Amino acid sequence: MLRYTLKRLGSTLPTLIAVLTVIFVIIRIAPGDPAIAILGDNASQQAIDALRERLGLNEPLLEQYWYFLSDALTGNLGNSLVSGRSVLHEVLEVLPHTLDLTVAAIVIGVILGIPVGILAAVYRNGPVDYVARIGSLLGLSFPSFYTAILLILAFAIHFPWFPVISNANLSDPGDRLYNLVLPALSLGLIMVAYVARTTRASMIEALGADYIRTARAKGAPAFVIVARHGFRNAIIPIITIIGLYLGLLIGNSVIIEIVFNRPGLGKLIVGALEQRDYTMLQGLMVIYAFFIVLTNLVTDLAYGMSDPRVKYQ
Amino acid sequence: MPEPVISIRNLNTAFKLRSGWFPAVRDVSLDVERNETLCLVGESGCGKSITAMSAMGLMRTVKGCRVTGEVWFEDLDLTTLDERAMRTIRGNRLAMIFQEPMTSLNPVLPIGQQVGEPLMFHRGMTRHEADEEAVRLLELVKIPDARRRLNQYPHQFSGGMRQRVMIAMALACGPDVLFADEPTTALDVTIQSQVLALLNEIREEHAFALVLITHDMGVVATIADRVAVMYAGEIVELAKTSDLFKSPRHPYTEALLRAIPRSDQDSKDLRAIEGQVPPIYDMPPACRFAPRCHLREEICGQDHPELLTRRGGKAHEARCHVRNRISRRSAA
Repeated sequence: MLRYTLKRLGSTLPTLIAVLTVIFVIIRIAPGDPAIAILGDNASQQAIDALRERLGLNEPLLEQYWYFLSDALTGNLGNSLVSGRSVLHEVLEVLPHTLDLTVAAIVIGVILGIPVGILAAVYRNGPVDYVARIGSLLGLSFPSFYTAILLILAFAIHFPWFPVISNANLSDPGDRLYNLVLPALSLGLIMVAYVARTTRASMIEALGADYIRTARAKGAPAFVIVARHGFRNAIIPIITIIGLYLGLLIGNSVIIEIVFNRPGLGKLIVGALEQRDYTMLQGLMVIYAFFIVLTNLVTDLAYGMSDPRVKYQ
Repeated sequence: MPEPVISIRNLNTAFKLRSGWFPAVRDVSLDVERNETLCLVGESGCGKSITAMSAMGLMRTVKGCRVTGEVWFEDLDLTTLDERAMRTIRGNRLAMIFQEPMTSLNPVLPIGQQVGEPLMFHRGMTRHEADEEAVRLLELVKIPDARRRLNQYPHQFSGGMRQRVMIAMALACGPDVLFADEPTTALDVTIQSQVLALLNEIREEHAFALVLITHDMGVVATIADRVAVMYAGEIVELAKTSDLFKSPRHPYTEALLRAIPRSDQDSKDLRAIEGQVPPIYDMPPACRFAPRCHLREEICGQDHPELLTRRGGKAHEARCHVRNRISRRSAA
């Protein structure tokens, strides 16, 4: 396991550099001069030249690339063109809100989705299975912003139990949790649907395997068959879907943050887009890329832990 | 005849298809004695595995499957037991090993845990005690360096070693009956004979009843005390191995024996059996082998033959109108 972990960690850095390179290239080949874009069409040539100099756009491309890479990897993402404050600083300020939301959504997805999926697989074609299948189909069909609006209507307006605008005081855990309920549910319910469907399919496959027959021939009790022999084998696709969806969740949280008017990376990105804050956008792309790479790393390490065969391939 | 350790009486296992129930196993009765190796032979799909799985009570949870008849084991009819009671017998007194050791072992559990599991279920052992016992079992099936291999996973074992692991697992609680469903079919020929020899050796040492399912007459000749030949869900011939090879009575058995390639014979003499096994939904009404049989007479298409022994002769039963009539006449 140690060797596998080191090997996998070693491959993370090249991946990250590759992603950063793509970001660098995209920004360079995007049409238009960033300096003009920032200053507007009416800016004087002098001002534009000065800004280009300040942004380092006059340097050779390779040099720009080198600065971009080394800065990004050392956490220096530049200053926001709008506020003038460090991009990393602004990101770190709102990151806890987004992390709260994403982690809560995954926890909801795993805690509800896995048992529902297992029950649906064990009692296949029974009432539990039908309810689970229809429920998860609904969950997948509803866009998260729509679920969010429905939840606000129901549990913030009709029953005023939770706040409409979720702007938590980070230093107060109770307040943080209270403000998290509705946003986390709107994201988490979709996660439940994905996880339940994957768990069901993967469990049905595992429970049909020969080693389940062996376990029954040994006289294993039903719980041992399902949990130890079935689920242990069904877990890989579930990890995959959670890992994949984690990336999607970060994207989806943008919408949820807007609907609930909640601080977070999503609001930061929309603000940066509206104000053409290039450095902020570039910095956020780097941050997102970093999280996706990190997610994949964690997913791969989880594979290694749950399936002994992974390490030896 | 000594008391059989397991006695299967009129076992029928039927599957529900769109147009009704169809028997995959029909009216199978078998007695197996302690310290005996009985081979169930026949083509694929003739009901050998289903017979064993039904006796183990492994078919009862299969949807669209109905098992009737009796399976007597120590004054208990296993078919009347509920799943909970059956579970205490399965893997404990009755054990089973399967054809494909790669897929039959759980890929994500160390083999030590898999071998020790029956001991934890049936003997109430702790994980540690079960591990210790697993070492002994792995040594029993001649896996070298057993203690070190305890924590390895199935993919780290070769095919033959995996089947040894399966055997060790089945033997964990010292079963009275071991069903082995084509245990050597998926293995290389050299490994096959090693595994068979091991099974035979352990069977003699531990004096359990071995029901070996195979389609390989060579395996039968090496290991079996008695043979039950199955065709289309029925036993068509039941005899001592030597009697069966010397003087097969059922035309299907004859055909099976003729289909064994022999190096001292011209390959022209190697004859495949004409025709095909009838599908489960389209069984011949009387003798099931009649459409493929060279002895076929009028009665074979009209009346279902019984499994009968020759009057006054040895215990050598066959399900054939023609042969039973002839042998009766000659015996009379």
